[in-house]
Amino acid sequence: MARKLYSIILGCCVLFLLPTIAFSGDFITNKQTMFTPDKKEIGYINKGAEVEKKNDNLSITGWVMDGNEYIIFYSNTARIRLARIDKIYIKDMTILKTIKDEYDVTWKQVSLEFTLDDNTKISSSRATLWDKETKLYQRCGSCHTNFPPHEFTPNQWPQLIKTMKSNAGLTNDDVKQLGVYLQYQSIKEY
Amino acid sequence: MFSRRSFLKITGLVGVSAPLLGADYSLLNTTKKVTSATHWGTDEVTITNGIIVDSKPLPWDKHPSLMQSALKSRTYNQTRVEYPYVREGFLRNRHESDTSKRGQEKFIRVSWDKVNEIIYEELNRVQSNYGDDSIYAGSYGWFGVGKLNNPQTLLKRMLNSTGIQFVDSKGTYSTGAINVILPYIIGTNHHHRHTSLETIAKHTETLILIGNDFYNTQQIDWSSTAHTGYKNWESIKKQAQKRGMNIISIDPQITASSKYLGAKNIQIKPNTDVALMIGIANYLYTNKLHNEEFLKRYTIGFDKFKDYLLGLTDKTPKTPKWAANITGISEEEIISLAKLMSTTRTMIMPGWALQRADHGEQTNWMVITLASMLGQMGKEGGGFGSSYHYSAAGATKHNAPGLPGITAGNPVNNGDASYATSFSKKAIPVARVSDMLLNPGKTIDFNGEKVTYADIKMIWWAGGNPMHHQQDRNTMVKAWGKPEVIINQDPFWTASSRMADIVLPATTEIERNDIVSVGSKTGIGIIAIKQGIEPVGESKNDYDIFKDIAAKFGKEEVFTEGKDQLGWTETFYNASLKQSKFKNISMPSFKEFWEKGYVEFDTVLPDGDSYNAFENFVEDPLMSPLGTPSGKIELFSRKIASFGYDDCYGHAAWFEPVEYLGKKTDETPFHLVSPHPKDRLHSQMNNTILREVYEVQGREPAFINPKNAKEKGIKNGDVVLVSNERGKILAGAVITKDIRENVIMICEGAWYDPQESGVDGSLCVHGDVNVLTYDKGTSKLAQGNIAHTALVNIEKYTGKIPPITVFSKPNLG
Repeated sequence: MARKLYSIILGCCVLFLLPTIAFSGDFITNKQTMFTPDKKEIGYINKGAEVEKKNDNLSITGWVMDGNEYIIFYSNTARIRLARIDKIYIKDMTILKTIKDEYDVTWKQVSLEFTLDDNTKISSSRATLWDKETKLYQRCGSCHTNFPPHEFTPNQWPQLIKTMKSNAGLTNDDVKQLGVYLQYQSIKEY
Repeated sequence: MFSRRSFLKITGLVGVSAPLLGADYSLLNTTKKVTSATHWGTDEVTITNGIIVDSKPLPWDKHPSLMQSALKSRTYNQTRVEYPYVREGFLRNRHESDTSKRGQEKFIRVSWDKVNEIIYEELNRVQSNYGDDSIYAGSYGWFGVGKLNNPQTLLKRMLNSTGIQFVDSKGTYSTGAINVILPYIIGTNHHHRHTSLETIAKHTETLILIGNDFYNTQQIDWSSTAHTGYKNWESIKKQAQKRGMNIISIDPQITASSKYLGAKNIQIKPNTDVALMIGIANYLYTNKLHNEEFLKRYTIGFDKFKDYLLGLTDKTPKTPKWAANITGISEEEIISLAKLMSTTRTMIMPGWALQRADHGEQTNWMVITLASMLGQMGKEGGGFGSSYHYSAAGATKHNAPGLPGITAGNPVNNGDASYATSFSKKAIPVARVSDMLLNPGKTIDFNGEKVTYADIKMIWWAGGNPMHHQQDRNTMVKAWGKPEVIINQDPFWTASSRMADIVLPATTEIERNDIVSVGSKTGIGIIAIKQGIEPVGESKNDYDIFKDIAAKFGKEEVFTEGKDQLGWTETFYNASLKQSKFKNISMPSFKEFWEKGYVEFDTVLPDGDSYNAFENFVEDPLMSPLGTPSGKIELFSRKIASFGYDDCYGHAAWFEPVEYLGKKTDETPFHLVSPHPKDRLHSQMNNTILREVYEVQGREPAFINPKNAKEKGIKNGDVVLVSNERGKILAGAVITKDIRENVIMICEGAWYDPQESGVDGSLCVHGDVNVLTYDKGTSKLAQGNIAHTALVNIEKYTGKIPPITVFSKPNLG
């Protein structure tokens, strides 16, 4: 029942996203710095973030929370961090939609154009993105049965992985990447 | 690859002298010293002529456990399974054998070749006759330490390698309720990093232990341990004396921890802690002693809880008076607790014991609700921590690399149509095993989903003793009669071995090479578990047992990935070594490490003694949200509420347990609690010489209050009969004021010794407390076990006292 409810909420989000990003199919393969078209640093974009090619530039679409516009999340219910933006560039984001969630928090769907200094760090294949993380995920099964990705929500996964850092022999970077991998995997539509 | 053979060639055996003038006199009298580890400590073991003669805790351990002294007694124990055995009727008739003869028929010794052949045939037969969901491999238990010889993971690895499907288990007996509920409330589980004990020593003014006996339970660690947490608790003790800290232990028992800290004891009625906390919460709210601002900024749903608290939803205001009636604690005492907690820096430390009771989910939810009302999370020394009793949580944390271990294989997506794990489509909450075996096809609620039980035809239990840890032994004996085949893999003739068809002898730590970290939450070091002696009898390492079965399927390479045991050990170590370089930690090469036997990480992390849980969240809840849907502490969970359960609402609440003193009867007037034992790890070590330290007339102690003992005509040292409608056991009376009136305490882990083995309802002559406990889930949410929820009677045993037989070998033909 819970999953159904969750799917409906997520389904709605995906519907919102469809016109802008769903068919672009390009993914960031490594965390890297984002630049304005005239090469000023905007912030950084994380591995796994889906981007759209727009002429010579790229565009990212996601959601920001009222009062915390620095972080672009995957959606208002799945807080996967796509990018972090420096304060002065918040005004450059295009607001596509504004909603109030069930906790009375205002969320804005935004898009932002940017460039990278290395366009080879974009892949059109989602399947090969997570090869390393798939191996790391096996380590969970070293002490207990692997929790399937759908058992926890995208919001819960990063915190849970953090608690298992030393048991699974994970570096700080492993913790982050495995957390993000499981966040994406826990989204049914992903 | 670094094979064991080439390794021995390079290093030689440590301590063995080189041959003199061609004659190897060293063989006449050789002594060597090796490092080894268990869940209860790290040791240097002296071996002379292949026999263990001595063992000493390693220098980093300043507070060794008495259990470490019983290494010889454990290794060379009368109860060792020395060879593979098969139950006589099973050997003759295989799956058509009379399963009611389990535990009664003699065992026949067979060769490893023979037993491997039988297992190979049975795995294939069961899988092809009954399909994917017919083999239960959800083994559970505290197997011996070692990142390689983890029998439960290796069992799944072998089955995954060979393509045999199985039914898995979820969760643990220790944390059945908390591990399900906590992610809903705070977005992470009970393993989250706790505020440092040294921070508590400096800043906490009121320390509340609830069902938490850390002094006892910190002897053990999920990895191995150097017992360093005791040093930090000593700081708390000293500072408490210096600063006049209020330390209160809420527990039916006056615990070792309470005595150590000189705490004030509030001997509450068992299973009523939630009512106590609700009573305190009511006083806080109605007297405006709660932190409104904290609730507003960092939590959601207090309004819904408040309506319940004030009785707006059920016309029962949860006043201190209401709580006094339930808990047996006076109204004045409850009010004074509320005043103390709201006017001083307060840290609340519940133990997991609380959640191993009916509606155990509520305990942690209410602790967090209360801590939120006090509004001290993120302030130094304030708030709560749910696992301070476990594996030295909060103790000094060192800069240490992690250490990976063997994996079960590649997790697959089994869909989410019904309850599934990465290896199995029909996994069960672990403590529902008897229910599953007895009721195939039955559907139960679990965490917002429905689980339909598989029809199990074969069980393979590796590295655990379910005939000790599962509740309601007699129901379990019935359940164990159901499958066609039961395999038990263990070093010892536990009741679980005796109730199996096929018994596979596994080695203990000192008989094998492996590796493990020391201090799972403190990062003290990594230790080489080195083979000191030859395996006892024909016992084999868990890794080899499964490797040989995989080989029968032609899948040895898949299982081993071309590595032998030392090869895997080196692989794990090298993964740590690689990490150490990024973390600026000095680590020797594997060869040097193996020669010395351990590596110590002596640099304390910058926040290793000053970590403050929830500090980031409290500083900026928008930038550091919790992993909950709202990003805040959820005192009301829309998700849990959406399940519509009648035994777990959307907010913390008091539910009457199925059995407790509020429902006592003439037949069963006492509440039975079964905490962790002091001188063993659950049922491990019960077969050692340490039994002499605590047993009474060869029986597990039953602790009883002097007033109750007088009423019942029981004297110290009497053999007593403890019973209820589920079963009966003999135990040895220990009369002490440490136990609350009308409460009986019998520690879990005494080996099950039925007068008539394999017979439902038989008297356990030795004192296995789980003969008396209730086999029921905590609620539809978590389905954890409710070991601490049981009513019993106790009386002096006047019959002829039967002998103990479980510590000798069974009938071996």
